Amino acid sequence: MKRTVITLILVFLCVAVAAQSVVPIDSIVVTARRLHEIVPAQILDGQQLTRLETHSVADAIRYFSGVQVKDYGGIGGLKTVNVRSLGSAHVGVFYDGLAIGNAQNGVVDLGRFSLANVESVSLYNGQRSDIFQSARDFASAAAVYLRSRRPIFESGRGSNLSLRIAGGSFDLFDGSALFEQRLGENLSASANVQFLNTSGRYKYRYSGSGAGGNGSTGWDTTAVRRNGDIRIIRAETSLFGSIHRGEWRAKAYFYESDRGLPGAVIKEDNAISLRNEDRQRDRNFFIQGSMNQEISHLYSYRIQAKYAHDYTNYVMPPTTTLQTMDAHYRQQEAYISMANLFIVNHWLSANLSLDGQYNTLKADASKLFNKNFPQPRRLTLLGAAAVSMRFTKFSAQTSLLYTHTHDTSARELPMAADRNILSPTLVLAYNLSNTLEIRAFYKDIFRLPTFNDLYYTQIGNRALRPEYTTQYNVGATWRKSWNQSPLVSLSTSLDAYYNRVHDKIVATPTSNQLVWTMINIGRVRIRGIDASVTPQFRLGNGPRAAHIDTRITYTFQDTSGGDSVPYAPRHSGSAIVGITWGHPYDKGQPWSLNYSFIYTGERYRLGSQTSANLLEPWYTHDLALSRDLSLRKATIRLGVEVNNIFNQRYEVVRWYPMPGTNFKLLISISL
Amino acid sequence: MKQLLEFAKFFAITAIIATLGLTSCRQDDPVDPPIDPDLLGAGFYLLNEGMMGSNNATLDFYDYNTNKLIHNIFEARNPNETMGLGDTGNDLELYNGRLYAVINGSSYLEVIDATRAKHIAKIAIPNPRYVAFNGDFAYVTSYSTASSPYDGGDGSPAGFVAKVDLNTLKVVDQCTVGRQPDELAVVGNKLYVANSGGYADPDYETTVSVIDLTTFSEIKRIEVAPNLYRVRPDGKGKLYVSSRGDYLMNPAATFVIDTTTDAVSPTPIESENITLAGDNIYAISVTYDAEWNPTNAYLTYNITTDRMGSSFITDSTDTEIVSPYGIAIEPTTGEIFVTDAVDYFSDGKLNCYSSAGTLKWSVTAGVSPAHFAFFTPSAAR
Repeated sequence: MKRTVITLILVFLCVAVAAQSVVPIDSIVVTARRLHEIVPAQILDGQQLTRLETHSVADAIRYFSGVQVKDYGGIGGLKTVNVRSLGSAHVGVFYDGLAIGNAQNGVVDLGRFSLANVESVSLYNGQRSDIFQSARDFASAAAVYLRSRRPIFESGRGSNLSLRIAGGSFDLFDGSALFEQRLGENLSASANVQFLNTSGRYKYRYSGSGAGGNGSTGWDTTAVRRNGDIRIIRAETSLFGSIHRGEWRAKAYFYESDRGLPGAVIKEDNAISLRNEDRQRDRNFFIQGSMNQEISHLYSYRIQAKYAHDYTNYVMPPTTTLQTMDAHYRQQEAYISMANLFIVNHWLSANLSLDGQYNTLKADASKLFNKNFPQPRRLTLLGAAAVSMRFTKFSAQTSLLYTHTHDTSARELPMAADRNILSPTLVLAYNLSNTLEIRAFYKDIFRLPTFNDLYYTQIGNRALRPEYTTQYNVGATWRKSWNQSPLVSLSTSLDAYYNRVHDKIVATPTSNQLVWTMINIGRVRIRGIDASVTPQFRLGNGPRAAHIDTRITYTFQDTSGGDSVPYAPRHSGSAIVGITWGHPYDKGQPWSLNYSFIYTGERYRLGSQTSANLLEPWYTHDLALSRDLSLRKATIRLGVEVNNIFNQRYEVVRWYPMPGTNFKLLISISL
Repeated sequence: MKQLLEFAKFFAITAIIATLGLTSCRQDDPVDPPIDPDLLGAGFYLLNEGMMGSNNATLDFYDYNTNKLIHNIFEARNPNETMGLGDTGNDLELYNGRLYAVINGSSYLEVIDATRAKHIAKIAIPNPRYVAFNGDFAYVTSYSTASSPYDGGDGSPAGFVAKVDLNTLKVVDQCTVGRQPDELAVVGNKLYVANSGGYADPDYETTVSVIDLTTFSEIKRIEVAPNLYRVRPDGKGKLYVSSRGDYLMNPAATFVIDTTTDAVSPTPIESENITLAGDNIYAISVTYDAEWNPTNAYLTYNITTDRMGSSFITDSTDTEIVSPYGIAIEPTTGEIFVTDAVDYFSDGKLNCYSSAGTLKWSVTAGVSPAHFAFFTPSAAR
């Protein structure tokens, strides 16, 4: 705690020291020529994202099609994202352009990221079809890009300050502050801190009659979810600069959390089952920077670098009736990348990216663990070559990624063999008319076995092969806008895909149930359809008009061609309707009402596809209302949120109950 | 119309007389008690362990009359029991007409009326593992700690054996043993407990604790091998004890203790998953190569001749078993039951082989089917 406070002070000092001269200029202009992505992403930004601001990034991603968020309940619980049922370790998560890594287990907890400081969330299937990017951008089967807020100064202002406090159910307190300062003609800075605390306590109810009971007769139990508390401190500071025909960014990020892991709800007797006492402490720190510059019309470069240190402490206390544990894991990652873009002519461009990455994991757990754990280190070299062709109607991109890994042990224990793998991608797009565009992509990529898969004491298997995915996708987008109509614009998209996963890495117990191991056994086939419709309406005319933003998605998945994929619903969907109205009109309307709906159809939990493992569909309705008030130069926003309005009992993961109706109040002040 | 009424009256009277007559004819015959449809015939119970954290431990019943496996009979017969049997079954034993299911994850001993599969009581025991019986008492091993919290040494807590009074269904005493005790068996007036030390690898326990049942205190520890697991008495003073090995120098193996002298000697059985029936030990052996590809073997060992026999599956259907898990021998027919846990999260299989080792039938069971209790109604009443 003391260390946290010192870090926070340091973060603020950095910004304060840098704040010397205040010279008003227009917001920083991006000079690098923008190359269009030929396949559009699903994006949440602007007001749609603002209306969801009290949620985590994982909550927002649920509104994309083709996505399943695994949610173990509550605010402190782990939330991971699975795109088109490929598995969450295949989804790359990028924060301001640089990947958030986890060489230990390959999974990024998206519950960790608050939307309070995020400007846009985008999801790409396959890869971002913009060739001017690092090799690592080509290296995952699907990617989520989070872009943090960059400072914008209204004319005559040199700084922005906003404070935000939210509170509500589960004893939630969430406070954050954002300070942005212009430091010069070509330089600005921002600092953002957040503190969140919640008890994570909520009532849940289970009932049944016989196997897969329907609740009409038989047992019925209500209890309070416990050990779901979390305390989070997050601090970020960024510098934004522009240079001749280019720009740069630097960021320092600190996150610390202390949470209980509530675990599955299991049958208990006389409260002696003290299994849900596990605690997890995390401390993540990274610094990263990026710079891009156009040297000539022919050549541009982008350099990115990052250093990250992640610490996790997992504790099962001595009061547990199970095995006690006090394990410490320390990961480090150093990363550097250079992307080189060559624009040959108006229709042909090419990119060559080279990345180097070094990961280490130090673990300190039980005696056996320490004795046999190799303390792995991995050097990864990535090279990507990409070519983009753009004609009036037809565009094509192709890329080839080369991956080399070399694992070593700090303790000179035997390690996995070196790997050299080539992964191709092809993306095609064709404009049939001004409104209709069709596209297709093919991508071959893999995920490496993680350090845990390979080296975890007893469990790990050094002979594991990478887990490969192949994706085929065809789709179309239709867009149109109207001037004199209540329907302002309409955009629809439809994609059909076929995904294969082979050599899937699966955990399996050995003849001794206490000892598990990892093997390449799984084989998954997914056929699916993603659809979305986003109409925008305007009701009334001129300043009195109300604006309605709507987004409806539908996802179909059929996983019957291979191993069963637990928790993959056949049908799922979402809807968001956001309405803004009132005066003044120009600075964003003061009233805003947001309704959102999520539907997840029948799906099977892990196990045989029998009625005992079938989970009922669930659907939640959320409402949020906010009002902006102007008070001299300050803007005050008051908001109220009601989530799960109809108090539906549901679970995303079996035996992890989700909260019923819950409330939130929000006040923010921008100066 | 009148005629019709007359006919009805005649018919009714005749019917009443005939019924009385028939009833009186049967009055000399013995009167059967009303048949209770819940009563179970001969068969066996099968405990499916389920997957940790999933509340899917289930109890099946195989009916010898219909030759059918009744799935999840406990939940069907006890709809008011919250979350069925609960989380992670670990042992199942039949004793004096009652069935005792050790539910590890949910931390209790379930007591069931074996004649009807009806719940009788739950007895809370933290992290329980296996159960054995003697007289009016049940003895249950627990990985959790009793009164003396630590065993010293590596700081890992010692386990204990709980003594349960079968009349009051209460825990009446506890006896601290080694770390993470597994199976236990009564021989004479002594209780032999296999200590595993499975939580504290590589510092496995290597001993069997011996408890005097009169004083219910540990009187000695017998040094055997690392990570002990099963304890099976032959009824003639010998006790077969299996070791999982330490995954380093010592492979899985079975040893024998002469309980008259407590002397330990090795056997040629290279397996920890054993069961003893008559003069034979049946063992499932799983060994792995460097890439964790398993090789399964089905071993027999004659305890009177001290010789290894041939595979107990003789028709080469053993290749159909993915992950052999539970094993039991039908006490009268000598039929061999082997369960297949497949991937340990899907429904497993129950295979029945004749005493000659040929596959008779195979049915789908629950998740990780493992523990058997053979039931005879007459013996239960």
